[in-house]
Amino acid sequence: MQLKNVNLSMVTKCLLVLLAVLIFASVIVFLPIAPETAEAAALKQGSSGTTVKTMQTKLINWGYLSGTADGVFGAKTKAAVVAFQRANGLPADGVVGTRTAQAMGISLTSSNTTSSNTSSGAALKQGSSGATVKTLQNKLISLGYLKGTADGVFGAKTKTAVIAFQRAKGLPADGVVGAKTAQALGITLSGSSSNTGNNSTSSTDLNLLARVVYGEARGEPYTGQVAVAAVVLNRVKSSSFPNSIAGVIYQSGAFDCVADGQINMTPNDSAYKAARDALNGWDPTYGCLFYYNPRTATSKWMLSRTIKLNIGNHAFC
Amino acid sequence: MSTKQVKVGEKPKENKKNKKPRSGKVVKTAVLGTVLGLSASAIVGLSVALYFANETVQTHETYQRQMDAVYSRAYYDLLDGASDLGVTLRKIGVSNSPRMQQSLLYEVWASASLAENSLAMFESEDDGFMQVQKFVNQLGDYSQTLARRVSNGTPLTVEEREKLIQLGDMADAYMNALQQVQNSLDEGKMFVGDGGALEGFTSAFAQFSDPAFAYPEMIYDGPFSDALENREPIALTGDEISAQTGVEFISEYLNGYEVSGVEYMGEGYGDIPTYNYSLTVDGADAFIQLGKNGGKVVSFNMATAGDTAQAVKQDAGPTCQQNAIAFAKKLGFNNMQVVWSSSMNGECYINLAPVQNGVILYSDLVKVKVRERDSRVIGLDATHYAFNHRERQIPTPTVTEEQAKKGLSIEAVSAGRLALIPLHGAREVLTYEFECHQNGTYFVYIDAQSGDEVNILYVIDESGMGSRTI
Repeated sequence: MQLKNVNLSMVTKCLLVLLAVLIFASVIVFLPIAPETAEAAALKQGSSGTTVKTMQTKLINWGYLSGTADGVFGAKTKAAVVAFQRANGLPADGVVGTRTAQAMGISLTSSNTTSSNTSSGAALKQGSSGATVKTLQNKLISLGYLKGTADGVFGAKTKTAVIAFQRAKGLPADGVVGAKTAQALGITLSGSSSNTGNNSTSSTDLNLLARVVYGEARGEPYTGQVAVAAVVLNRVKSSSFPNSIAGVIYQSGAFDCVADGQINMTPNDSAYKAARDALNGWDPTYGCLFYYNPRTATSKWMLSRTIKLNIGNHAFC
Repeated sequence: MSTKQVKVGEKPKENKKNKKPRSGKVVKTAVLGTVLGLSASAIVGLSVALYFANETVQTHETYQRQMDAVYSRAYYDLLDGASDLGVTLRKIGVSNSPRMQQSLLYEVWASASLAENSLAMFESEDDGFMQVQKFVNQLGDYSQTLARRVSNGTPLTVEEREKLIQLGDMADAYMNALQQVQNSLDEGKMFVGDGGALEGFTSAFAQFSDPAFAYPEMIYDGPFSDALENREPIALTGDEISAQTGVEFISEYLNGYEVSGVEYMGEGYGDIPTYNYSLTVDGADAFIQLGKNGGKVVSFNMATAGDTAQAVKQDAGPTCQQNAIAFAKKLGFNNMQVVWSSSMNGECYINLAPVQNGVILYSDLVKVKVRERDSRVIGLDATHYAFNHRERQIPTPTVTEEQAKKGLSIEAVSAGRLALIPLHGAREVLTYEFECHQNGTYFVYIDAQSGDEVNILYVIDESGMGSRTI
């Protein structure tokens, strides 16, 4: 009994140790993989553009893919990529990250168009992809112009549906979703150069300011949002800070939303309105250059400043 | 009892003895197999892990080096720009030739502009560092103003030369502070990372925040002049009101709106002392700020997010403007005239300016926001008015409108109207304002005293953006 006990516990121990090692190892293995796939430059299902086309041509030449290269990363391309990855001993996830791209001999430069890039363009057309395309497809499906499910890739079927919709509405039937078609469909083309919703503007300053407002104060009362935008503008006017909106916003350590990346989120209507009010002169703080959340602020220097005004969770000084 | 136990226990013992070697072998083989298999996979796993870990570390190091290069570049640009600043400033102080003074002043301006951009790279929130930024900004602004003036034929005064020599000493102190950082870089420190030079960078300028530090005041016609730093709301006269009186004022001001839940939110201690209230107006959250002295509305704003996308009435413009003027009047802003309006996304921003003896006072703007759907005023801002409005001593124009019109290079489509406009934020000039068209709309301002062209505004008209001027 005793011996067996020893043996068993030894086995258990060995197993436990090895398991721990394995879990540890797999955690380490998968951690670095995650950032690779999450990389903005990676090509995956839904991507499109010239790099996708280059990649498809290579996959066709090597026999992984049949048909023609259309520049749209769909399910077939994904299957081909997975096959390529398997054959080359790469993690077969169907996503073309830096290593897969290296193995294929293509470069993932900014010239490639991932879903986010396409959706920021003005118009949606064949080859576009992304969330906006999905919204478009859902709209077309609900209106009965398109069958199947929304996959976020603007293919030939989607184009046909768009043309049918445009004909029905008396719009130029070119299969391209521009401002007018988008308006008729009731969808908003995101991005700076497109235009239908309230957020549209071609002013870079307004966009930047709205992004700061959204990243810093989206849960705040409206006046609190105007106040945050006003602080940015007060800094631009102040001699103690940089002299441009971008200079102030991207000054090192100036705004948390720059440090944690929240500035890159898409602002809502309220943030745009607040930014516009501030650009038009509204400043509820009357010249404040700083603000902080008294509940979370730790900087002694900041806490030592005289508070001039409280709005929502922010103290302005 | 005890014998029974032994007897009972003997049989299993024999059984065990017989079975043990066999089962032991199985267990051993199993254990060995598992151990070997697992260690093999562990080794493979670990080496893969190590490979990736190494790759991550390398990426991290690459980014760190790139960031370090960015900071280093900014720092060496600073050092470059600062190195001769003190000498150049003192040279201007002793130079007697306007041409020499002018070229040296432009040199200072260029160095200061470079420094402005590089300083913006570094952490902002430190008093000494902010003072340094202010010094550099003002120095550039000041030297540019002086250079322009010298080129217009007005020589530097004795005081200005003395000030430039003083500023030269400041520039030396700034250079010394920068060199402190150089020492730690020479020890092989990098900017980024633990204990990097970046951590102590801003503290090198601590002496600049010392109140005893002799800092010459720069007052001139420029946006960063000290004259503009301490503003006072001169238009808000009258006795101090109580917060309760403020509530009564609000119901008067917003007569005609559905007002509820007025809540006093405390005082504002900014450049304009105010009482702040949050309230609900027509079902929307709103915020209103009254001047502590006199109780005038300084700012009123309604949160109308998401409700302005509806179709706009075709004739919204004129009604909006009428309503804006009427609303301003109700709040005590009299003799107002529409000077500008821009419309976007169903909201119209209308700028009103007071008129004194037929002259538009551009510095005293009251901005009114109107919802075009129902021409309802949904916001008002009187900050400019509060800071600037007063009875002006308006000079008599020495240039006639006809003469001023001759100074235009493109034809005016409007009659000239007299306007007092702010110049560089510090001074006001009486001008004739002309609207001109040539591939777009321009507003040209001709000095009514000298006939010089003092400002040109161009109207940008973009669909969806409304029109605005630059």
